[in-house]
Amino acid sequence: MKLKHSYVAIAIFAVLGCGQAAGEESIRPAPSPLSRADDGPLVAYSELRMPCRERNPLRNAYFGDLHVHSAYSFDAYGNGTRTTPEDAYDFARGRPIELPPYDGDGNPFARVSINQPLDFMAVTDHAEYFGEMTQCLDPENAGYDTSVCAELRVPGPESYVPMAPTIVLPTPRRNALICGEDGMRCDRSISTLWEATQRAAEEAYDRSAECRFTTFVGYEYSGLPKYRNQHRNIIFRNANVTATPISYVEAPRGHMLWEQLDRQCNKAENGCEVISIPHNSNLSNGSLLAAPTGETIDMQRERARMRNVVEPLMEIFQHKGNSECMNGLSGVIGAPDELCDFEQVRKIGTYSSYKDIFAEVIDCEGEPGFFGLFNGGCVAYNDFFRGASLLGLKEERRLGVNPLKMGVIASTDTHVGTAGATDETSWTGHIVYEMTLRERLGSGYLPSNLNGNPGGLAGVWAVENSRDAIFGAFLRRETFGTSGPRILPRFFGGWDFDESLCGDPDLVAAGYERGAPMGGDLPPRGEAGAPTFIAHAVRDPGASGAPLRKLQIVKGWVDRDGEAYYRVSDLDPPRDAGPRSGYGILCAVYSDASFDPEEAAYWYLRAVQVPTRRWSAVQCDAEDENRPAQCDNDAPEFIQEMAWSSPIWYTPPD
Amino acid sequence: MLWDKFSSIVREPLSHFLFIGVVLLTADHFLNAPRQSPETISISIAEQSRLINDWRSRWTRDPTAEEMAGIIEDHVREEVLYREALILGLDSEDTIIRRRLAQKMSFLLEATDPIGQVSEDELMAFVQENRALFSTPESVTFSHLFFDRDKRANPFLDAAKALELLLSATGPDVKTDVASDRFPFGEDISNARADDMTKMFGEVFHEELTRVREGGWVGPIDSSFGSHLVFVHERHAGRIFDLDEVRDAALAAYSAQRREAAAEALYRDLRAKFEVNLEAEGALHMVLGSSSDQRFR
Repeated sequence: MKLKHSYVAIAIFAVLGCGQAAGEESIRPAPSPLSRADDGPLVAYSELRMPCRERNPLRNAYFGDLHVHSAYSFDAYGNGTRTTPEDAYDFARGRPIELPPYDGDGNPFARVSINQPLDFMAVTDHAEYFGEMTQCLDPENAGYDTSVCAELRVPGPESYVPMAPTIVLPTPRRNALICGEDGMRCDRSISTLWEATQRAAEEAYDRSAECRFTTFVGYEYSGLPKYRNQHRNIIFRNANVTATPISYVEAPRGHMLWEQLDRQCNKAENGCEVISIPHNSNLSNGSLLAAPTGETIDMQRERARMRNVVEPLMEIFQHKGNSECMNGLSGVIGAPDELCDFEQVRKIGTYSSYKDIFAEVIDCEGEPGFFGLFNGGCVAYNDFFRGASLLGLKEERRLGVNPLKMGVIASTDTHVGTAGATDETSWTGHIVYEMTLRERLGSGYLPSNLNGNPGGLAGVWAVENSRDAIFGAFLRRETFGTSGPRILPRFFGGWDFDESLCGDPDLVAAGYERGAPMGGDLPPRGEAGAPTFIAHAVRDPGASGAPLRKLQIVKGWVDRDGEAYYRVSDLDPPRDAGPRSGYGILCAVYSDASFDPEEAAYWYLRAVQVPTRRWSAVQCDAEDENRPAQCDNDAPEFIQEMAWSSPIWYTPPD
Repeated sequence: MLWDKFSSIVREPLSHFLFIGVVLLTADHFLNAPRQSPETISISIAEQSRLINDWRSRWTRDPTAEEMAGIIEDHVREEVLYREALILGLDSEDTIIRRRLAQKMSFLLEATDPIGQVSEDELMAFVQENRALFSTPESVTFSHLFFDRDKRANPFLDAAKALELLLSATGPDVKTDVASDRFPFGEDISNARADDMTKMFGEVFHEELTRVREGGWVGPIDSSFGSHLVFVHERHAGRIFDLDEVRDAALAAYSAQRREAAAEALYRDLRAKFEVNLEAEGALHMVLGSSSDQRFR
């Protein structure tokens, strides 16, 4: 008998007894909880599970992937992926899985395993097509024999394209061939894959006191009107989820999604709780992280509030590029930042291509474009975390609430189930048409192949590895993203931190006691002058990591005239370290002398590695006789991988 | 106590069905009664406080008078549209609503709590059956001294010199005499599993450590951060917990399992009242099974 997800009864364990539960004499009891204003149990479970045997009140870093596709996704399946959600969870836990494509005898292209297992993960398949997929793959279903389904079943680069209109049309419509004119055939078969998704998450979740692996039930909301990307990953706190996923078909606008998630889940009073994480804003032509729409200012304010609650995080980095920042865009003022070019799928002033269409990459200048998913159309400052967060500050001035108050995570967006496979050297591609080095180095339909990268990881600071502890970090925005390595960035903001903290063993405790961690708001200012920040980072100790080169603090602020600015500051390396090209541990305390209490601002930390070889270079190094001609290409040979912390915010008094 | 009696009645499945029956009859009466114009939408104090609480839990403050008017108006709008939709019978045709109602009903079934006494043997058997949940793997408890590559010209040499010092002295406190550096994850590591060690020190260090014997300073061992001297205190074998260590958790899990079984039995009783008339035979073959051996391709 297994514990199943249908234990909806909410059992709250007494969490403080867990030290004893662990047993053996030699095991130390968990340290006493940190004393804080909101003193209380460290985690209140919303589900039935063994309390974790280890619990760190000063919080541990956990790494995961919240953007993983299996064969349940129409595009992955169409391309030939046959990896199930179970396989993807297996992969994340260190077990080998098969990679597509399969030959005529059903043999996989390869078997691969991850270099270091993940701590948490969610499978996020495209929910718009759960019904269509069930129709297309089950011969007993009425939709099975349609031409659209027949085409889908034969692996090919475009075999799923006839299904695309559902998400590309500004008014979504189910495919009438597969689903019938009223769409009911597909509506009725959504639950087959939705329930399978839930079962897979349940089976892989470690509910024992070891707390080794956490899964989340999730799906991808895949709205793509006119190919401008509106995608989000929807992640549930526990096994209590909506009866069916709310997809683009049910909620064709962002505010409809937030409203329905809020009503059908957060307010359902059955233990359901949910967040939505937008991704690939870099491909949204200025439309994904935009100011709230609505006829009246009240309506806009209401939508801003809704978004502030339902979308506490965004995905800053993944396979299809970097969404942190881009140089040369209007709307924000600041010196060029060379690290914004890192894994950028396109740059302003260059040409992008899709099939026969070539287009100059231009600035949206306030008018959203389209075709972003194919690297087309315009780009806007709010397509990127840095600019969107500035827009959020501006909107907060206007509406009294910040609709774009987002922490950050990164993920892979793998479409072959290889969750967390971010190692540059061993990466084997995240879509079927990237499996060989030759293919990877070529050009693809999407911003992938030579333009793409292995993606990144989601990081959280949490007291233990359980659903409630990690979801709590999502809600607190105490999260970070990395471009792949397991870098551990720590960031605290307060008013009285000084240099000596870097040598203090109680640095982290002081950070929590006297300040706010990443994702928080600066505590009340009182009489203090300038805010101070503790910036700390530890390198990835593993083989795919490298020493750290430097720490940087990025500040964004809106001045009294409503102009938006940013500034990147390099922090000095530790004084007691000799000159080094790279460090294992970096620490600095930074005081923001330019602080103006009348200006809204945010600060986030970047921890940057020494230059290392990009996947496209290091994988060519390993080839001798069969070195593909494509190894001679324009991609940079070296990259500087990094971690981005969630910001700490300051709001001026009214 | 009267309350206990009341709550036990409330928990009684029969009460649920009676209650639901009353609700349905009332609804039927309401829907089929001739419509009066104008109809009344009453919003009780209790309902108003629920609306206010909803608001508070979302925005962590009280609504202003203007916002309160908006909340009431939204509620009225929902109620008006809801009633009209019921009159048009929209509820019975909508798949989403059907699913939501079914989901609510199954929550209701599971909320019944028929668990009585659980015997020691039952509980023990449950722990055995679910040993994956109630066990702990092998781990190691050790102390180490860290020689930071960032701060030293030759951390390995410094560590080797320190080891000589440690081996020539005796007593547990001797390590405080050695000038070593602070390690980001601490110097005393307890109950670390293999994966914990890789996360803190890297793969190479972990491999080396597996070869270290208990009870003595050994080293230097290199990690990604520098060099280390290691003292392994204890290696712990994996084991299943005794019932006394996990009694509360086991009881909760077991009760939940029983509750689910009871809910399933209630459902089967309900199901028995229906005869299913399937138009075409065998339309339920599912290609997309979830068992991992059944490859779906």
